Amino acid sequence: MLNELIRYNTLVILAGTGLLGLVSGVVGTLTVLRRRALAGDALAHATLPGLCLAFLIVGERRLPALLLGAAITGLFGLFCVSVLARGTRIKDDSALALVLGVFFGAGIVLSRWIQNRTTDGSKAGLDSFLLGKTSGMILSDVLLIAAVSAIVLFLVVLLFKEFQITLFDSSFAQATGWPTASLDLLLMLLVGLVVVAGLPSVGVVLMTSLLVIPAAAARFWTDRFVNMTCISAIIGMLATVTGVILSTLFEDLPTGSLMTLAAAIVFVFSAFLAPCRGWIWRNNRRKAFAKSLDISK
Amino acid sequence: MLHSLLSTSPAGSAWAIALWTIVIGCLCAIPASLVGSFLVLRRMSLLGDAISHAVLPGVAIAFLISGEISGVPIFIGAILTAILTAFLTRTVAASGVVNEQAGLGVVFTSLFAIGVLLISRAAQNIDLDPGCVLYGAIEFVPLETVVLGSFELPRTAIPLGFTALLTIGFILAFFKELKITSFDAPLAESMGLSPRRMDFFLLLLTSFITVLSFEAVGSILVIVLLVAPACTALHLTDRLEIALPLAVLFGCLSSVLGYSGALSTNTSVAGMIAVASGFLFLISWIFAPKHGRFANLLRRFRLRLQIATDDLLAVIYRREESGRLLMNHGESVVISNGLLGWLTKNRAVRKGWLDSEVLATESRLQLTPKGREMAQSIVRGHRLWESFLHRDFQLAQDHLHEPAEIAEHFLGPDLQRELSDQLNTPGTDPHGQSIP
Repeated sequence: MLNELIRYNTLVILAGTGLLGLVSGVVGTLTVLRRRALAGDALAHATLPGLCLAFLIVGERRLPALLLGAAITGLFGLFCVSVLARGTRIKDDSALALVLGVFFGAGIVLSRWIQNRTTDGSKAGLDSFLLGKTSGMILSDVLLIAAVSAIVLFLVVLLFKEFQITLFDSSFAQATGWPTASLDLLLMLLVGLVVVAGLPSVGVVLMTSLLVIPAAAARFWTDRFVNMTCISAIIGMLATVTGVILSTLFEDLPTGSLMTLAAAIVFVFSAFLAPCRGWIWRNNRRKAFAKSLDISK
Repeated sequence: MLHSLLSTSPAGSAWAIALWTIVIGCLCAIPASLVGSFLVLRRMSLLGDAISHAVLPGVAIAFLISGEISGVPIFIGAILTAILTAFLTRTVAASGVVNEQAGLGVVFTSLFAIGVLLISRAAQNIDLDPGCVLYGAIEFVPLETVVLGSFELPRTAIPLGFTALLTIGFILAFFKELKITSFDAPLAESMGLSPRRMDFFLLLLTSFITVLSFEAVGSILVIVLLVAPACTALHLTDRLEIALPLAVLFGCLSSVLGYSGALSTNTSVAGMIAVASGFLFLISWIFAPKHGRFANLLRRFRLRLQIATDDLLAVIYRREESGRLLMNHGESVVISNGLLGWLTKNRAVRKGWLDSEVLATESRLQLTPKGREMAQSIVRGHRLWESFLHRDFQLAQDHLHEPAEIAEHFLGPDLQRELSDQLNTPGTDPHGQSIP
């Protein structure tokens, strides 16, 4: 009985994290190419004031309300990033850092405010969202992730050409009349959906790593957008599944960190060995070039 | 918490504590906003965020070796991992395959994961409060004091002050090099200034500032102080020499505003300083004289008004050419009866291009001699541009008007002369109308 339960639990977690890895691999490709690799990180931090506000309004820890609050301020944060970065002065990275820091600061102020008002420990758990609890994932979490994945994948497939043109040549896209600003907002919305769905179960830092590492690793293998998206999705899924399996073997190790490290190992492997762009190839080419210069002398 | 802290301290020293908290905030803000300005220019704004997560394994290893949870070993561990983060990121970005931001993301999340693993594996009973690292406890900093000569100082004021001086000294000594390498790295390299060496020092300083400050005031504050004052200042001016002191000013102002905000709401000082600096940025983003949103909108509106006036004058001129006159409120296609139309006529009258009676009466729109001259120049530009497009781009007759309608507003006397010379001073445009 217990054995079965563990197996059922493991299957639920495998399904949830595997899907999350896949969909963040896809969205991560878009954000890395958009030069906003850390959009997920900024959004995850921007959810804190929303969590607190929802808690203040509802008065107790009720997950749907908290998630809604988190989603609202998180998406508002990314909306700010999109608006700030559209001007000429503030670059993408500064916009992200500004939103991340200021929103999180506001969240800290609010959470201290809550602490002052409520003397009991009911606030506990508001800030445990940093690390997440993968092993506590239940079927409803998986269903949420599955629903979000379906929406996100549908939108990405539907608008693939539009994303491609705005990501690779945004000024051309703008000049030929594509709605680049709306597409930019939509991309941030996709990031928001993925992060908010994944945050309760995997936490801020793992969410960030799932959005960045698979896509960055995939970039070493290919120059084609379609291929990069698929490779990134596969790496994302592989990393999460490997992490879950490892954590069932070594029970006291945190699942999230194992997933990140699995992805990191794939990244290091790609950065060294990938044909054409990997370190070994580039180094050989450089040596060959240096040699050819010597001969011609 | 802040209120109870101040009320339990002996009378008289409450003021000293408040003052010292603000001073500590400023001591963090000064080096952070200076170095941050260069990070913002170099698109490395998120380095502070990355470092503050990435130092975890260094802290864990230092703890495992020394067995202490604070003090010099932890600091050394954190500093070394911070430097490692900066340089791993540079290595990843130097491959040219992914950019700095993605490199940062890969490096800091991996290091953080290693840190969590180390802590969970080997130090289960360690009391590492993530809340304390993130939120900081700047409120309590003034309580831990050391005596230096005849002064009693908070302990952290000394290393922070030292870092501030070091940063100011570094920037004064290498200002020219930093400026060139930040704005034009290839130029710097061709001049023999190594962008990589400047990078090295900047990353080193950032690591130093980040680790030192978040021990004192929490990482969230460092992340914000590295970016917000710099962005605020860079919005207000185009000159780096002015932006740097401005950034320092905004950093210190955030510290003061943040402290008063925290005091009046009895909440977190670090969080409030972050919010205050965000607020200052918002103000400069909206109201900055040259790059603010407000100035931008105003500029766009002025251009629109100018174009509308140009169009009005040109239409009247063309009507005069063909012998028909235009009634003031007659043809709404030409001048809208709304606000823009009114502003347009008003502007034309103010500039002396139209008779002032059009504002009050339904009279005919009649150009003054000065207005005719102006209108002539616009129409001349329009027709020259049409000739130019027709001759040099072989555009068909029915494709000439629309581009010329846009270009006419931007063709000054110099450009008109040049066009005319190139076209051998044509007498008529492709439609057969004479060029005035």
